[in-house]
Amino acid sequence: MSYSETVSFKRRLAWLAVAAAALILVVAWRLFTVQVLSHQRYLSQAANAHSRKTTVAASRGEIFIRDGDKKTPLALNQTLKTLYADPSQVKDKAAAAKALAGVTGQPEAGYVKALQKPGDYTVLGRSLNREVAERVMALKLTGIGLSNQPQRVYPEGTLAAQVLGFVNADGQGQYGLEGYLNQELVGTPGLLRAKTDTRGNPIATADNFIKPAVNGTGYVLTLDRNIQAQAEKYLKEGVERVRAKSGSVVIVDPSNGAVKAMANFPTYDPNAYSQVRDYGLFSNAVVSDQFEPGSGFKIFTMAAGLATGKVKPDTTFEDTGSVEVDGRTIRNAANHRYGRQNMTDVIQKSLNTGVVFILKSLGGDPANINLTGKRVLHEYITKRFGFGLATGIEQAGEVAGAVNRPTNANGNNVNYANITFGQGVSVSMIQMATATAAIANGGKLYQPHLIDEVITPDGTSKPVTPKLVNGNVVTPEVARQLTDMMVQVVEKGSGYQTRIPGYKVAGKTGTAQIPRADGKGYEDKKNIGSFVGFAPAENPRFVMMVRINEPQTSGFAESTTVPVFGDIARWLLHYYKVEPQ
Amino acid sequence: MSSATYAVRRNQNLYRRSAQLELGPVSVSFVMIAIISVLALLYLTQITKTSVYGYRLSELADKQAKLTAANQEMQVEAARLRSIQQIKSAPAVAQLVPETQVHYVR
Amino acid sequence: MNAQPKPLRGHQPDYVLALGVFVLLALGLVMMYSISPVLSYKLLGSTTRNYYFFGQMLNIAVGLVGWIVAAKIDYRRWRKLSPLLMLVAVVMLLLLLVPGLSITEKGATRWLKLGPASFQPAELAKLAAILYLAVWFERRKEAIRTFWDGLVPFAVMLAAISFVIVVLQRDMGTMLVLALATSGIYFVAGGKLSHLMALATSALALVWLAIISFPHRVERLSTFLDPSKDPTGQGYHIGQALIAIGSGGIWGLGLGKSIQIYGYLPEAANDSIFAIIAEEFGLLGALVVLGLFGLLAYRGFKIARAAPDSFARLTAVGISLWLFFQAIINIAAMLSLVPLTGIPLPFISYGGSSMLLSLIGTGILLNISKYTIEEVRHAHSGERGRNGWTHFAVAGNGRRVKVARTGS
Repeated sequence: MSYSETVSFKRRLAWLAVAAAALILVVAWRLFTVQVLSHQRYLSQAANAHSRKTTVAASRGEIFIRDGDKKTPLALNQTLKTLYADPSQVKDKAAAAKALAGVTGQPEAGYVKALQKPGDYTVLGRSLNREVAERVMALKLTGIGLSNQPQRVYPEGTLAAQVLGFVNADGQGQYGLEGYLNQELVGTPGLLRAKTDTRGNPIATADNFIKPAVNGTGYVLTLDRNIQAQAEKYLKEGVERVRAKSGSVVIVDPSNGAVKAMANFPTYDPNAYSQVRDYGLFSNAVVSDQFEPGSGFKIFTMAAGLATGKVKPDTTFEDTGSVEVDGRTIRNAANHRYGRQNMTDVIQKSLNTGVVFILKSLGGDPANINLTGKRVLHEYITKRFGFGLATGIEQAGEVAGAVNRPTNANGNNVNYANITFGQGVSVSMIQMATATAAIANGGKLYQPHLIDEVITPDGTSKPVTPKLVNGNVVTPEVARQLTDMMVQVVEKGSGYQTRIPGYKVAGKTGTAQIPRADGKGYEDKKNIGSFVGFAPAENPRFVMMVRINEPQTSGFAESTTVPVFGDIARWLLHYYKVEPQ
Repeated sequence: MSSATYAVRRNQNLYRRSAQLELGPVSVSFVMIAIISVLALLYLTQITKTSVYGYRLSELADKQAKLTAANQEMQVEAARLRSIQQIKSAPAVAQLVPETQVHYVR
Repeated sequence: MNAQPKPLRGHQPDYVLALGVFVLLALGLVMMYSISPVLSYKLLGSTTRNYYFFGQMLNIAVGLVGWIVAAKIDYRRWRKLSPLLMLVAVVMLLLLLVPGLSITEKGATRWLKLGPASFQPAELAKLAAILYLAVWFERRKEAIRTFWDGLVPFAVMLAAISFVIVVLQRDMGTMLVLALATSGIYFVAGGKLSHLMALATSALALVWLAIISFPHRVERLSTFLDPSKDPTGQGYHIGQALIAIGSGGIWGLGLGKSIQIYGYLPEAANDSIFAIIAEEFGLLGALVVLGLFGLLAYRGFKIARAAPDSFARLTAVGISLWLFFQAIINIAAMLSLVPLTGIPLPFISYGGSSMLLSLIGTGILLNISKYTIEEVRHAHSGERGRNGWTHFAVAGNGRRVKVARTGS
């Protein structure tokens, strides 16, 4: 190497070294700007990208129904999978469709069509069970995914459908228990705030924040699966027999207000609520339908009369077949006139004139209706028997009914005369059953309830204590007198079809007219038949109300509701193993 | 070519190797780097344990979710099989005769 | 040029260079150990195996063997070996075109199947080209300054190998490193500045021409040249790298505390390892790594400066520039200073071929360092100095050094 060559080399090498040093300085300056000057910006970008707040779903409380001494599930949860695709990510659509069809058993053509849709999200299938989902996962197809789809499942199908309600696609309970107790059932979702990897798995660091989910409260119902099933079966038969529009049954334990069965027909399957077109099917008519009760209401008028001492079972009055109130004529059904009748006859023969007589007696003036009488009747109906007030049963959409105040313009004498035999007043079936239970048990009004036990999220269950609303609605003596009158209805009167050999059954029929939609009077051919009663009369095990709406066959409650009551009562007495007298 | 002539013999005596083992600055540096690296690895063993646990945790959570789903599915299936509708349609039940007369033995 | 080099007696190699590489290797291994559980989990779905850590251990072990062998081999033997090496490299590059023999990953065919292992011929090509050009320029001491005998053959060679690497392999990064390193050799070998300028200008003009002639094809061209990175993917990659580096701050998150490693930063063990280092060790750690690569270049230049012959000089410059540019381009890409080209960070990134060739290059450099001759500038102040550590020490341990006569 020549000297000049070496000198040139070294000079050029020095230049290279300077260039390299310059490059290092540029990179170092850039490092400084990124790591020091823009540190905060990148730090917040990092925090935004890494920190994720995820809610941890709480599982919805389960609902059980009594099955004799045991309990059995009525509403459960299941995590199904929704199969979705990002069509833009699926390269070989035909192959993907074929593979999916091979696993799910669905037609391949459907998948091909769905995968050819534009956009980045399309649902390929819903409600895949775990097994199928795992097989789809095993295919490892790009652009195809599964997401959790929490599903409420009702293993008993249509059983107690309206009592239960359903859970909609947003996870919100609708109608019935699911609607009424939605807040308690959904629980509190948990919260997880953590730094996660790109797939959302939390990275174990010290500053993660976890609030566990609190699962929803579970419930054991007072309903008995067997009673409910039988009630539904006989109700269906009864409604179909008279080609009625619909019907309902409610059975209450008079000793504590526990509802043992609550059935409506026609019904639906809450598992397939989305296929129901007539939304009327969703509501539980027993609590959410108010109607004019008709003659069944006479027992409460009688209760007021007996309790105030204004009439006694052997008090008599002259039945002329009709009675004038403020220029209006009130007649007995079928325009019968019976002459001198006592109070037992009034109930047994269902005399409208008789209950108007009681209203007059309540005011102390046997000739006229006055404010005092109306006030007494109003007090008994509302404050004591609970009409005009929601019972507070654990059901969404409960109606309060309506009883006009005696001081109100609508609560005129004619209206009150009508109220005595169940017109111009609206009630719900649960109110009727509850009030009747207070007669059956000797004067104690219990709040009707559907929940027997509350299962807290930690798994312990607490029994619910029945709530005594009024321990002395009427005296036991008055209750016994009323019971005797109602037994006469079954023994000799309109309820004869429910006579069960060996047992005393108490009850009262009612056939109410349906007010016309235009408010002018009542519908001609349509009526509502009802029967409310209990058995055995001397030591009642159950109170039951049956209601059949708009039967196509002519006739009164005797021929529509009474046979249903009879069928169920006969079965129930055997089920309860009540010995005949 | 002239660079070859720069061979120098100066200071030979100063750099005689002594017989005993001597750790020069180079060796010390290599040993230091090795020790620091080993310490770093030991430290990392502890640190990465948590990340491994993090993954194991999510693995187990996945497993739990799967088992819960399986359990739910079986519960639902069991409940369906025990449901009234299922029992009513069972062949064995179809052959049962409804009770007509009940006698209570006192 | 001697046909049979006489055996030389060397002095001690440049331990500072060796130490610098050793520090980088140790840092790389620690990084692999730190990211191994997360990445192994992602790769194998199991946390039980330290896949990346043991893999890198193996890579380093193989590389160290290469290093030691290369440090033992008299560097002058590469004169004879370089044409053969170049031939092997080109054949291997062409073998990539045979479908059954290559491995395609993310759309790029860069790996040659060698039994259970795989090899990246482009890595070999870099070293082979440096050695080959060093020989070539040594022989053309004077002709190098001419246009037809200097610039044109060099430009043709560069264009040919660039064509193979860029068009057939679609590896822009490797081509860039190669072009910069060989141009550096050309520069220090005495190539005319005007020629070098012309070369750079024509290269830029070619690119510019391509862009203005086919503006609508540029995008397609860039994806063609590097199919693994579509425009959005590349943007994401750089964005994540910047988040990693920026969130490190001055002090870093701490060893093993990287969050970006959890799937956010692509190629975390390979091309993006610098971003993880900057995230965990902050500006300080990043500057240390940058400084170490600067130190390597400095020591390499120093060796070149004192190298006994032209071939050694040019080889030392070439290897130093190769490692330096590869590091600086990798780091600059992470900092969004240059486009992402996908080249590994020498000594640190996970990968066998790069590790092996980088360490062989270091070995050659160390071998040359054993024969350096320094002008004595401080004749009476060298008492404390040891060879390899001082500016002036000459034949180590007072041994007599014979330097072969080389060149014309």
